[in-house]
Amino acid sequence: MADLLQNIYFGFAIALQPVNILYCFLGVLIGTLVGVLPGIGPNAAMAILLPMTYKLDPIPAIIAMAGIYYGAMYGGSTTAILVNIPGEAASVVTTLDGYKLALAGRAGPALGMCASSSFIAGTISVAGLILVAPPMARFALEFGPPEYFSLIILGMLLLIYLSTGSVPKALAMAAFGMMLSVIGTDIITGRARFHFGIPALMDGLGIIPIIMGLFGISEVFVNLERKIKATNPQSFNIGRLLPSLQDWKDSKWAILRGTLIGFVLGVVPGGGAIIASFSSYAIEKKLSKYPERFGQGVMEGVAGPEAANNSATGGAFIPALTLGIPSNAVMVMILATLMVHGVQPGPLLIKNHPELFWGVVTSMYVGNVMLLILNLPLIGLWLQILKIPYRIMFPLIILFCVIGVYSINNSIFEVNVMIAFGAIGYIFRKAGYEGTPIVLAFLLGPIMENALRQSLIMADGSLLIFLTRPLSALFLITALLIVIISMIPFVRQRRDLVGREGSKSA
Amino acid sequence: MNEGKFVAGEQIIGLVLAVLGVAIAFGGMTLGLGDANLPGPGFFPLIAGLALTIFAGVVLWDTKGKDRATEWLKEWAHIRWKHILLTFASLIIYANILESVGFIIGTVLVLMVLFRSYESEIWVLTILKSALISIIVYIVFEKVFQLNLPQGILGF
Repeated sequence: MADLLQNIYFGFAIALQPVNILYCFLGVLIGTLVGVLPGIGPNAAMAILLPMTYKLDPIPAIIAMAGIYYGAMYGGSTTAILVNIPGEAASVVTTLDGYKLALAGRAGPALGMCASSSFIAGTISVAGLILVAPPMARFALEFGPPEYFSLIILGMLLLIYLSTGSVPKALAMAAFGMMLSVIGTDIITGRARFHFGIPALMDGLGIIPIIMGLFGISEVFVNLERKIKATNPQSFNIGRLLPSLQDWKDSKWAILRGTLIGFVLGVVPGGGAIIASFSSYAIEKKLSKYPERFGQGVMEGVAGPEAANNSATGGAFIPALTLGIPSNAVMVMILATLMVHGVQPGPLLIKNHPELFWGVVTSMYVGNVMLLILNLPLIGLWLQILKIPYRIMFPLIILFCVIGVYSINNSIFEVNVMIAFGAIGYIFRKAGYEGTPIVLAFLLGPIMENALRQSLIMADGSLLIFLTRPLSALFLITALLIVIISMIPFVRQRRDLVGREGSKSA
Repeated sequence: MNEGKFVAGEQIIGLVLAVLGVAIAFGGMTLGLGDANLPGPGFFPLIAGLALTIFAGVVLWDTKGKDRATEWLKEWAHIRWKHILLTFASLIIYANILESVGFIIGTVLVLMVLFRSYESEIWVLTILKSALISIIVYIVFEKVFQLNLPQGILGF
């Protein structure tokens, strides 16, 4: 316990350094901005802004990236309530009751409740992260290659079965991602694989051009399909931002439940903010004494999901920071940021870079405070920004993407890769194939391959090693259970009711 | 949410992926599978390729019996696909002339194309916007963020 307090103190000492405060502020500001603007999701924004963190030290870089993530969760609710347009996919649920509350003249309290429940959830989930991550990392140090292999299989299966859309397609996308990860030089033997004589491919495809192509550029293509109508935010009298005592009484359990749901779903691969917010709404409706009022302007319908989507961001950091396994595309980018800065993700991260872990985690609390204070006064500003036409935005987005990719290695080849993946991502999307499994599998592919080959070397060729080691067997059996359970028709129907990760078009 | 709407698309992509999977699997076998206790560089590609082909196959199997082309064409009628194609083409050209003409000129050109292709407007406005944005972005990224933007023959 004393250790924990010492670490927290240590973390705050880092988080409160001026440079880290600055980048935390920039991160949450940009995140809120991105959350407010329809047409850019947190995925695309983080992809675009990642290159701007290159010249920074790793700590401010991660602090900024994390800030963008949970900042976007705060920002998305503002437009959801005021304009009935979700700023990003996790805020879709907030439009249901939030906009109705605004129409009923309660825009102020609704916004206030969003910010407050997000803050409460954010604080609790950071606390959860602080309590769970270090023991989990210590536990993970016991993992050998077989455990890693089985865990990754489990993680990828969870991701696939928890995402909506067709399962075989998601599996195909994961296989596609694994295939892409194979291009380059084989670590174990040094042989070049599938580089087709192009020197630039000897190091493999970069994860950043792929991410920026699949999420940044292809998103632009999707949005160019039809002319986006300009948003004309109806001016609501916002007035007092404090929710009433009755609002608090109604929402307190929703907030707590939302926080818990969000946290758990954030940890699980394939979970994340979107599923969390949808689940919270569904649960609040089920548990309510007046379910028929949901959709007409019920405060819990806003408080619960907002708590859930914020808390999910905290939870998502756990597997990423303790195991090096991302649970969604955003975490892939956080891990990519770490790798770009020379920090190796995995169970040793907390041990080898305590200042990074504790600094980032405590700064998430700082960020939540900033967002609570920032959000409400700046609403007028956000509304003005909504008026920027997409005609101006999309060339800027493209420009930032190109600059971003070019500045990694001064390589036009990588820019071409990004554009190619923009096209590939767009075409895949039109056919219903999603991009998230691709990048997840691309990141995990090398880890998985190494784990598999090392395990076989260790086991002298016997596949039984995955089952004779208890942890590995546990992971594989759980994976099998998931496959079986997901085939039950009842569960299949439930899956289709829940939201989809990734793209903004909900 | 695209389920059922793009069956033809699903099939085309599914087919492409299945073929790709087979190609990679073969490539893997060429690279050498090694032994069971010392897997070679071709081992994982073989697995990935087979997985891809199998899953793509499942997708294709699921599409049998669904109505295809008509629905697909109807969707495309509403989409400004020419615009998307134009944007894509201009991006490719932009990327590949960047290092010869330099960032500012290249960006001004591509911005003009992108602005005009979205909606028509008076030329003066286009040139002004493109030039202004290119220069501001150049200053911010080259000087403030200290990144190295492509320099053309003219040195900027």
